[in-house]
Amino acid sequence: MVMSESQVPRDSGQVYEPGQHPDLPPPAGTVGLIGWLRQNLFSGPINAIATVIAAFAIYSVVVPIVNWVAVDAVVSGEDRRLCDLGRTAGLIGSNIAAFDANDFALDPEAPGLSEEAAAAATVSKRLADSAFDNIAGSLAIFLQRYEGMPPELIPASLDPVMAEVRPAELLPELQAAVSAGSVAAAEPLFTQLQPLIDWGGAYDGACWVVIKQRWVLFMTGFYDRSENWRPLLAGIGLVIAVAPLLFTGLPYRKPLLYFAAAYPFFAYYLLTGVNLAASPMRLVLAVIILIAAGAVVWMRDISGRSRLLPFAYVAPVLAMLVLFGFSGDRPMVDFESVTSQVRATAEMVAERDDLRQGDRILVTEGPVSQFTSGRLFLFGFGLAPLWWLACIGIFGFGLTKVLKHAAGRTSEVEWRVWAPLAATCSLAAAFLFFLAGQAIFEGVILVIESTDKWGGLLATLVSGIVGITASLPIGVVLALGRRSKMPIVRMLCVSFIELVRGVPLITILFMSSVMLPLFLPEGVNFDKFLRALIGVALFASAYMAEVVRGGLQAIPKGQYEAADAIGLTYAKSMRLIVLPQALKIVIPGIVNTFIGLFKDTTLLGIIGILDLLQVARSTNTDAAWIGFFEETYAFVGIVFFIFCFGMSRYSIYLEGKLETGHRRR
Amino acid sequence: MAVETAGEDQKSLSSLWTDQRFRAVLFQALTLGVTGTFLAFIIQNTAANLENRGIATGFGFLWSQAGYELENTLIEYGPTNTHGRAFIVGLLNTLLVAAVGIVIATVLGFILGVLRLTPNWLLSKAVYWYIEIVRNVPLLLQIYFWYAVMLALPTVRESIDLGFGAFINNRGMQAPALIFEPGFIAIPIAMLAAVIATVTLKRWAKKRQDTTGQIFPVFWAGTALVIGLPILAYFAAGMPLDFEIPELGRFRFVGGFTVSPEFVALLLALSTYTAAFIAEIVRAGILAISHGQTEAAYALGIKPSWTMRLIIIPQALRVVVPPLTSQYLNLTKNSSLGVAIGYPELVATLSGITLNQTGQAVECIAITMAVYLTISLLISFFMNIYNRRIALVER
Repeated sequence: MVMSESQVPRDSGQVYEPGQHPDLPPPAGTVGLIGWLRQNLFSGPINAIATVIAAFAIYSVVVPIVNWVAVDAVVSGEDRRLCDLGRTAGLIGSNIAAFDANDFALDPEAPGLSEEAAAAATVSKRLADSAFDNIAGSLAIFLQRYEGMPPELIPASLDPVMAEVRPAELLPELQAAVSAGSVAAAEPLFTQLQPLIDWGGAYDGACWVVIKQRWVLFMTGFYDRSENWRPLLAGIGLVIAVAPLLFTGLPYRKPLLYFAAAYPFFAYYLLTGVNLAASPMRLVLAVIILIAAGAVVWMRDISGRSRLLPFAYVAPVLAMLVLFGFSGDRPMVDFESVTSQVRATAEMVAERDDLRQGDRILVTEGPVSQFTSGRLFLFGFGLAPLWWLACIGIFGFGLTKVLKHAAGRTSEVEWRVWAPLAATCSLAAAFLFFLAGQAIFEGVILVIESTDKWGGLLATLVSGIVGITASLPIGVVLALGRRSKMPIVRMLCVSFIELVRGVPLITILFMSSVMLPLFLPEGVNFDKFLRALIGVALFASAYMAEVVRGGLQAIPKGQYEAADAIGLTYAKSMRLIVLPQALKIVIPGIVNTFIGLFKDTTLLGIIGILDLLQVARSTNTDAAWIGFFEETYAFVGIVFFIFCFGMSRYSIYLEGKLETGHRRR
Repeated sequence: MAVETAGEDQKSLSSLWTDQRFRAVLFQALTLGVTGTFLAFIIQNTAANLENRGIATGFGFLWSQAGYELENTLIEYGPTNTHGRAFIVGLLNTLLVAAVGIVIATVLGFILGVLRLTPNWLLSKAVYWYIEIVRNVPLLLQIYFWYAVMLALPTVRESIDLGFGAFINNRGMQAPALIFEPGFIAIPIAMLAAVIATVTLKRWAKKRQDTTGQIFPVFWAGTALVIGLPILAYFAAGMPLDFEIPELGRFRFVGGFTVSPEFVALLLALSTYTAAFIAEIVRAGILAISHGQTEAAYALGIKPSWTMRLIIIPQALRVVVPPLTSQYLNLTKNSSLGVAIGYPELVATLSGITLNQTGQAVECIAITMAVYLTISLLISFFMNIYNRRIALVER
C-alpha cells in the first residue's frame, strides 16, 4: 500500500525513501491507561454495558462489606454493650426507613379496591404499623442501654449527639404520638433523631469484640489456659519446620531440614505431654542398635558401609546408654512404667486429702494401662524408639563427618591422634545429647493435655496436617497397588478406593466414631480425636490414590521399560524414575486434594470435635453473644480462605518452578 | 535361556526367591493372609462386642416402629411409621436436594465459567474472586452461614415478598402451589409431542442439508415447538392448571407450597459451592480447545455463533464431562451435610436418629454407604453413556 500524503508528518518536511520512514507512535487510543481501558472495559457497546453493570454490582456488594468489616466495626470494649448501643441507634433509623417505605394511611377496606390492591394495602399498612410502633420501642431500648453503660465505655463522639438530641425528653413525646397514631406529631421528632441515627450508623458494623473475647477459644479450644504456651511454641516450630520444605532457596535450609525431621516428635510431645521415653521400647531399641551394628560389621556389600563403620563400633556403648543411662528418679532398669504429669481427677481427690481437683501430680503407670485408659496415642509407643533412632542417626552421621574431615586434612601420623580424639568427642557429644534427651523426656515433664480439650485452630491444623502427611504416602501405595500386575493386590486396592470415593466423608467419620470401638477388643479405648484423624486420612488417601494414578498413567511406557532394561528393581524404578515424574505432573491435583482435605476437617465438628467452625457455632449459641453469627463465621471463613488460597497459590508457584518442559503443551 | 543348564529339580531356594512369579504369588498370599486375618479379627471382636452390649443384629429393625417425628417429608410419615419408611423419607430428601442442586449448579456454573472468560476485565476479575472465595471456604461453613441467614430473616408477619406470589421468612419459603385439574394430562402430552416433532424435524433438516445444502433453523423451531405447544394445549384444554397463592393467616401462611429453611439453606450452599467448581471446569474446557479451531472455522467462513455451537462447544464438552460427573457426585455426597442443620436426609434419618435409637450401627451405616455407592454408580453410569456419545470417534 502506498502511504498517502496526509500520513507523513507535515512539519518535518523531509522526504523518506520507501521503507525508511521512522516508526510513527501508536495511535493515542491504543496505549497507556486509556488504551487499556478501551481494550479491556469498553471494547464495544455490549462490553461497555457489561462494565457499567459489573461496576455497579461490585460497588453495591463491596462497599457495604468494607463498611461492615472495617469502617463501622466495633473493636473496643470487653463485651457487647457498645455494639448493642450502636445497633439500636441504627435500628431506629431502619425502622423510620421502613415506615417511610410503606404507606401508613392506606385503608385496605376502602371501597373500590381490587382484591390484589387490597392485599397489597394490607401488607403495606401492617409493615408501616409495626415500624411506627418499633421506632419508639427501639428508642426506649437505646435509652435503657445508654443508661446502663459505665461512662468509660461510652465513646466521646456520643456526648455531643446526646446533648443535641436529648432523646430522654423526645421519648415521651414520641410515645404519645405513637399511641395517638398521629404521624403529623411524630414526623418532626424523626428529624430531630437524625444525628443519633447517624452516630449509630458508624457503630453498627461488625462487632469484632466477640472474636477478641473468644480469641483463646478460637485458637486452642479448651486447652488449659496456663498451658497455652505449648501450642504457641508448636505453632512457631511449625512455621520454622515447614519453611525449608516449601522454599528451596531458603538460607540455612539444611539445619532447618533436620529440625523439620525432628519437629513431629517435638510437637507431639509438646502438645500431648505424653512421655515419649516409654521404657519397654528401650530394650527393643538396644537390640535393634546391636543387630544393625552387627549387620554393618559382618555384611560386606552394604552400600555406604565405610561411612557406617565408625558408628557400628560405638554401637555397644550407645546400646548400654539407651538401656541403663537415663532412668531419672526411677529404678535403673524399669521396663514397665512411664512417668507423666496429669491433673488430679475427682477420684484421686477422694483418695488423698492433700489434693485439690486440677492439681498437677506425677503418675507412674505402665504404658499398657496408659493405652487402655485412652490417654496415650496409639503411635505414642512407636515414637520413642523413632526419636532415639533419629538422634542416633544424626550422631552417627556427625561422627563420620568429623572423621572424614580429619582424614582429609591430616597426614598418617596426625591421623592416629585425630581419630581417637574425634571418636571421644563424638561420644562425649552423644552422651550430652542423651542427657538432654533425659532432661526433655523425664526432667521436664509436661502435664498431659487430653485431646478432648483440644479445639479451635489447634484441632483444625493438627487434623489437617496429619491428614495431609498421612494421605500422600498411603495414596501413593494405593495407586501403585491399583496399577500392580498382581490381581489380588489390585483387587483389594480398587475396592478400597472405589468404596471410599463412593460414600460421603460423614459416613466414614460416623463409622470411625461409632463402629471403630466395636471393631476393637473389649476394653481397648481409642482416642476419639485419633479415630477421626484416621477416618479423614483414609478418605483423603483414596482421592490421592486416584490423583497419583493419573500421574502414573501419564508417564510413557518407555520410561517403565527403560527402568527395567537398566536392571533397576521395582522399588528403585518407581522411586528413581517413575514417581518423581508422575508426582510432578499431578501437583495441582495433589494440592487440590490437600485443600479439599483441609476444608473437610470441618466435618469433624459433626462427630463432636470442637474445631474452629464449632467454636464459632458454640459462640453463636452462647447467650452472651447471640446474634453475632456474621462475625464468627466471617472470621472462620477468612482463616480457611487464607490457608486454602495460600496452598493453591503455592501450587502454582511450584508448578512453575518444577516445569522442565517435558510436558506436552 | 542359555545360562539355565541345570535341571528344574536343582533349583535351590535362593533361585526360587529370585523368580518374579514366585515372589508375586508369595506376596499376594501374604497380603491376602494379613487382610483376611485382620478382617476376621474385626468381625470376631464386633460379634463379641455386640453380644456383650446386647445389641440385636439383622435388618429387622427396619420394620419396627420408628417413634420419631420428621418435618418436611415428601411422603406421608408419622411417628407410628417404621424405621424403613423413615429411611425412604431420608432417601427421597437426599435425591430431591441433589437433583435440584445439580440443575442450579450446572446453570450457574456455566454462566460463571463463560463470564470468567469474557474479554471484559472487570467482569472476569469479579467472577474470579467470587469463585476463589466460594471454593476456598469450607462447604459446612457455608451451609451454617446460609442457615443462620435463613433464621435471621424477618418473621412470618413481616415476610419478604419475592413477587409471583412467593414469600420468604424465617420459617422458609412459600411459593404458589400447582393445582392440577382434570384435563391437565393434555399439557405433558403436548410437551412430549413437541419433543418428538423436534427430533423428527432435526433428522429431516439434516437430510435436507446433506442433499440440498439448505439450512433449516432447527434450534429456534424446536424451541418454539417445545414452549408453544404446551401453551397452546393449556389454553385449548381450558386452562386446567391453577396456582394456589399462599396467604398469610394469623400465625403462618395458609395454602401454597412451603419449603423449609433447612432445604433452602442446604440448596443455596450446595449449588453455589458446586457452581464455583463447575465454572472452573467449564473455563478449563473452553481454554483447552486451541485457538486454531476458531481460526480454522473463521477461515471456512463459519460465523462466530455457529463456530461456538458447532466447533468449540462440542469439543469442549468432551473435556468438561468427566470432571463434571465427579462434581455431580460430590454434590450428591455433600448433600449428606444436611445432617448438620437438621435437614432430614439419609444420614440424618438412618445413620442419625435410627442408629441412636436401635444402636445397630453396623447395619445402619452399611445401608447408608450402600445407598450412596449405588447413587454414585448410577450417576457415573449415565454420565458415561453421555460421555461415550460425545467422545471423539477415532477412525
